[in-house]
Amino acid sequence: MTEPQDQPIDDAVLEALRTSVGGDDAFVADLVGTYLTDARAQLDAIDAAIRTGDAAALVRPAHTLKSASFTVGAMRLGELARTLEQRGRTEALDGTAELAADARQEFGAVDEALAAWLREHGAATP
Amino acid sequence: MTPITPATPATSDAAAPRPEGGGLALVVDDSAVNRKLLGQLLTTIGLRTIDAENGADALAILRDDRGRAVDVILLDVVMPELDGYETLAAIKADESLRHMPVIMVSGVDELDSVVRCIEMGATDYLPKPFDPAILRARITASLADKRLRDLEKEYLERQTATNEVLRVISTSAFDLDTVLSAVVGTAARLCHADHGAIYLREGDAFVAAASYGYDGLVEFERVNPLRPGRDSLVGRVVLTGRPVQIGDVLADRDYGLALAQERFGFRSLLGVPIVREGEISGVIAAARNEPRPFNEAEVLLYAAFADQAAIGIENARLLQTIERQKSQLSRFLSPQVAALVSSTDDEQLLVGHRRQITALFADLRGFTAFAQQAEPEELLGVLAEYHAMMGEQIVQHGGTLEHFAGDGMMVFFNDPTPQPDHVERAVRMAVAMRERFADLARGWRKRGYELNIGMGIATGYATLGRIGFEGRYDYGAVGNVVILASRLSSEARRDQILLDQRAHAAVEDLVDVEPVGELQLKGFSSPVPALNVERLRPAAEVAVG
Repeated sequence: MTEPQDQPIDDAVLEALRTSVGGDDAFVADLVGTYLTDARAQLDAIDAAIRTGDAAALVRPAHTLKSASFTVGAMRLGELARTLEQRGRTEALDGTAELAADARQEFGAVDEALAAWLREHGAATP
Repeated sequence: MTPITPATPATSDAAAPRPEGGGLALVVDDSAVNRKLLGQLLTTIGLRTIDAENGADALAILRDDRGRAVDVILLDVVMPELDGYETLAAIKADESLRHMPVIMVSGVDELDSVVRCIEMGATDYLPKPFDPAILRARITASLADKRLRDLEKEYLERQTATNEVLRVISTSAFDLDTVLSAVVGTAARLCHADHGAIYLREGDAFVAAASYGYDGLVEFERVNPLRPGRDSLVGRVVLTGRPVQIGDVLADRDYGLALAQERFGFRSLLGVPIVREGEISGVIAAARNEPRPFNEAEVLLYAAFADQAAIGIENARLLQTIERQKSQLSRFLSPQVAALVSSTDDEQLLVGHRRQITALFADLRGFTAFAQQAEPEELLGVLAEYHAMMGEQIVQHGGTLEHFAGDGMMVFFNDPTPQPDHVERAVRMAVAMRERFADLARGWRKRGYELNIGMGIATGYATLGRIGFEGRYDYGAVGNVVILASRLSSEARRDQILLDQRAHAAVEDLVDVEPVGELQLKGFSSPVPALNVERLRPAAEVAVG
């Protein structure tokens, strides 16, 4: 299990990702851009599922958001997405609207942190 | 100038496993981030990738043309449309996909589902987040496994095809066209060639004898025979005596068969010599309509098929020679003996054996006087008519002619081909000969020659086989029965057919006979009773054979 983080982005994870692709900053920037675009769509899908009370429709966007968030080092957002996914699976939608709101707020922080990281590594802000 | 590529250097398609990559991976994940990252990681270890967003898309790719090239599948568990389980189940249920390695991609908190997937037949799993070292290890293992399976499958396919060609060679040895067509078609299909052809030497030219996938090649090349030279593939093979590849005929300045290229559209060519007794007797060729050279394994396979073609050609020529010899032999020997000489199974019969036979001797009354007064041309003319008539009857009744000697001849039955009705055959033949002879004799009488026939028939045991000495062998019969038939023939008066008692006993229901009493025969201590065949009984007058 991932430890709770102080920061929206775990730099070590992002650094490991960067190393795994041979230090290719342009690729990391592209990947982060894709992540941000997809995450917005997934957050929208999560909101929609909760709004209509469709537990099954909550599972997939939450799962994808979880998986992609852990990939880029957005550990807190990943954990929130994991909780949402489990709520969807157990059809326990009570309080998920608050969780989704937390996730959206956390995403704002992730977005800023990633932009900062990219600037630091000399890559263009997506 | 494009150099002639010899058979040995491996091309990039060589079948040897290269665990460091070089395959095609299908990445199935609904997260674009994961697809991108996996794609990048796989590319750095030398793989090419295709993406699918869900299981349904993945199955569609696997089942169309792109699927044939896929070496490994990386499959996410949680996906829309068709999830990882359903996709895996569909892959394992499909005969053509079931052996494809599938690596499940999963988060560490999904290990339960990974276990389930492995139970369903997944090869391995890859934990998220991705670790390049683990990824490389898993992919390498799966690809090595896949290549082994592919090699095994390929080997089996080739073995099966080779067996099939050998079967055709052994069952259709008389038919060279069938053998060559089987060889050229099988080789082309196994090596993924669009066309194939076999050229055979005719004088100093090479002519297409069989083809695969070409429309009208044999006719086209018959008008344009190929000769040794650098302007054609076949010409180069003949020049070098070795396998030759032309990577792309359009880039080869020496290649001169523009007309054929235009008509048939080939680009890459492979030619391998068909060698018989150290000489190039033909060329087996393959062609692709795209510039994609043949790999080392394919060149080796073509060399093996060239050997099979050589065996097929050799067999067919041997058989043609044997057939020709047999047809020539049969002009000298009786057909049964000619067949015997050409067959290895019956070698034992030639060596010598005892068997019951029926022997028939025939000779002419008045022949000595006729021979003394007639001109040689007349003599030969009469003999020719007589032999022709008798020969026809011998063939018709299935007799074995042992010898002609002037006006005399000896025929026996029941050897080398067994004939249960051998006595009956001899008697029917004798009666038929007597009738035909009467017609001939009437003609001769008009020309002033008085000739008559007499015959003797006896049945009993004789020793049969090759008689004579190195350089001059006959197939003959030795024994009392032969001497008896000969003596009876000598005793027979004009138009008589004398039977010994045993021969008569075998056919007494078929013929009317008159006893001629007991004959004192040279070499026989006691008198021998004999009977003359007057006629076949009406009910028995059905011609044999």
